[in-house]
Amino acid sequence: MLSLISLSHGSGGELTHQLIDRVFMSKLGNPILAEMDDAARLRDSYCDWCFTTDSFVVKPLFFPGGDIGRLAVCGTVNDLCVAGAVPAFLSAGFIIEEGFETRRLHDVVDSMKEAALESGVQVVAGDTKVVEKGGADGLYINTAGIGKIPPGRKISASMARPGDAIIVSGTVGQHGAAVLLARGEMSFRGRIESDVNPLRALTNALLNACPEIHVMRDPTRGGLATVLNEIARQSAVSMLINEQSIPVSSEVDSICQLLGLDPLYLACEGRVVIFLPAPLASKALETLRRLPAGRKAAIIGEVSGRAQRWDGGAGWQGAGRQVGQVVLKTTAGGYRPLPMLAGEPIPRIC
Amino acid sequence: MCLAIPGRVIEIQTCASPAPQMVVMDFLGVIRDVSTNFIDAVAVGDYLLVHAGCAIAKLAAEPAGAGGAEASALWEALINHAASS
Amino acid sequence: MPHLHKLIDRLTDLVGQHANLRFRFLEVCGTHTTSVVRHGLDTVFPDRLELISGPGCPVCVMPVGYIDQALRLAGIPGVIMTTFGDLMHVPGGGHRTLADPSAAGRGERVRVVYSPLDALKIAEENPRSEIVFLAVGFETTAPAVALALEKAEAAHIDNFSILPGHRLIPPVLRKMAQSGNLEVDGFLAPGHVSTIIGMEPYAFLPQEYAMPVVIGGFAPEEIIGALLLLVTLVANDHYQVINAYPKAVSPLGNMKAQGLVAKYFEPGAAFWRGLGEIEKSGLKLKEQYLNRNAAVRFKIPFRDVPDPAGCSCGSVLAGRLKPTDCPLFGLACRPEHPVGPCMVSSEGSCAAYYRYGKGGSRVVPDFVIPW
Repeated sequence: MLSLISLSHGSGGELTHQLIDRVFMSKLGNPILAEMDDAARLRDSYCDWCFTTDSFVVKPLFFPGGDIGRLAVCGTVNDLCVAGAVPAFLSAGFIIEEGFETRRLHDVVDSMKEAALESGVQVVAGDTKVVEKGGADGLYINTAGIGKIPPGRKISASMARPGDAIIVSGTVGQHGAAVLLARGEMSFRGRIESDVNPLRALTNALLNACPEIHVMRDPTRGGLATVLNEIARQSAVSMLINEQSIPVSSEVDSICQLLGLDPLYLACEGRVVIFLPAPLASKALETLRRLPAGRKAAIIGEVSGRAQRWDGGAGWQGAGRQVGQVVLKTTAGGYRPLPMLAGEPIPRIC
Repeated sequence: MCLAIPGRVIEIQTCASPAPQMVVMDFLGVIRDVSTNFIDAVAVGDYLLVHAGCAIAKLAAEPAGAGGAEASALWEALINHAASS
Repeated sequence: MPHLHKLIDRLTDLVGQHANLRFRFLEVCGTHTTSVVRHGLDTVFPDRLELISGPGCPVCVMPVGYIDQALRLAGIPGVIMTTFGDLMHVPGGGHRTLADPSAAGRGERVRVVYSPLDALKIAEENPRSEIVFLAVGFETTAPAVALALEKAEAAHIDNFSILPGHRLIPPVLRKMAQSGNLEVDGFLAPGHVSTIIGMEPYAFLPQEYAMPVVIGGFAPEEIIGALLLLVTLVANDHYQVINAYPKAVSPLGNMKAQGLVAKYFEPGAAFWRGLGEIEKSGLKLKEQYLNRNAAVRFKIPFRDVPDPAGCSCGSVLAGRLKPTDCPLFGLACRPEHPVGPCMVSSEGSCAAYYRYGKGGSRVVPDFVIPW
């Protein structure tokens, strides 16, 4: 591991996982944390609670389709939703740079209010800190959330099983591409809207229609490819993904080609990946497609079997653990592994 | 090396300074200013191949999915040429 | 892509008809490498057809000494370093990179740009700073840099300079052909370099070395089509240059671009990682524009530094070693902490092999993929 933290440690990919394993898990680990789901499941004699937290540091603070406020509510709400919980309460902590315009803070908090209404949650605790100019980049928000898990429901990234169909609820990479364009660093323009949205309506409808769902997960940092690998590892299964069926908007595809990026590694903020027994896939798909946020939902692959040991050049053989692999059948008809994000995606021209 | 992507010219910028000559291009919904100093007689609607902010070639027609029959004929001609020359 | 599948079938048939022949081609260009592995094309190639990766990743061939120069320039107070994203993670001496939190001058002072013209704009907007652009890339990229210089000269933007690092493809191909230990049957030539230089600069390969050359595009169909042509040429003992990317490549190339490059640059000897110094294989600024050379302006000369210990990038770039045969591949050398440049650029052949998981045979439940 590098002696200093680099941006890649926060990219949600391989280095983030190393950081979690070697620093956080090794020192703070306990049986609940070790489940490594998006939200912790707290077992109580009355019912199960779900608890999670997330920090938001997006640049720019406002982008097509949303802003940091909407993101801060949706991110935490979605982590609860994909755990099968009914989100209930949030806390919000603000770290504000000295000199930040109050008007913009109003705009951000208005977005939070709107997103909280859409998600059916209340913000019930908060904190504000102001740091000196240069001590933060405008505004950072942390939210934590708590939700209730209905009795008997067990959804976890470790539950994928051979024979499961894999569904994604909409086009991937929208948020990552929207923020990249909004940042304007590469002088590209265009209206790619972030998909930032609360998943509550989608996950509610899905769980009502198909209570047998094994896994739900929202692909955020690291994109679809990374979340599939996380599930493959946690469930110790292998999967086959069909590139042709993955929904990608033409604008996202275009900006990726221009900058040498891969849409499967760009962040989403309002999508859910679902694993469920294949015979139920068409029912889930119909349910999703009836909702506005799920119109582009598609079956993108299947869990093909138990994990095989990755013995190739990818360097996991030293770890000596069973890991699942994700294989992509390409549009051209070839095959290749689809690994987790390595490093931080950087635009390139060569 | 050298990623170069086709796009369509949607606007010619009238600009007083001698160089570079700029146009606005549409890459399937992504917009960018591109220099056309290396291309002759650029018109709105032209498809250009762009690398690092500069157009490096004018493409014959709409490049995306280049009409199957036409592409097929091109490969036939090239293969015959390779086999017989 | 029904047409693609027809071409693949045809390629398989043709290779099958020549059971006594081996078809081993050098794909010169890193964008070809990336496209092949990204689309999994190598898993649909017929047996006895093999592509090996050449020196066509401009970031990968930059010597350690160039990165060290860039790092030292980035550390000079008042300098804003501008670069293509490709260079951000290339390690110099001591594994330092422009992206390192420890790199001197890191922060607002290293900026990733899409175009050299964007770097020039930063110079216009920051008249009190010195803007240095890391001018790497092959023939495709050099015209954009020449254009930035042209505009800087015309508008007297004096706080803009470049660290010249352009490399040229035909001289390195000549060096590889001359070396005699290059075991290939033909070249898949880079489409976008050829857009600028045309077909003629490859003519020496068939004429002097009996090597067929096919200029190819980058879509799966264009790559398979180009390979079909190469196999046809080899099977018929025909040695020539074929342009299989005519929609973007004309026989003479882009003369306007060539002209502007020639106004600012002239060919000079240049170092290539793993291949050493090659005659006339780089572009150096002409005498009258030396003040635009950041190395001269800030007195930071190039020093040749040995490649990192154990790194086989040199052999990989020369097409002598497959990335997966390097002892460091996937172990000490991975995209998160690359040792050599081929693992850094996402089109470097090692990174492409790693990212898209080439190497060794893998059994996937329910079906077997012959990697």
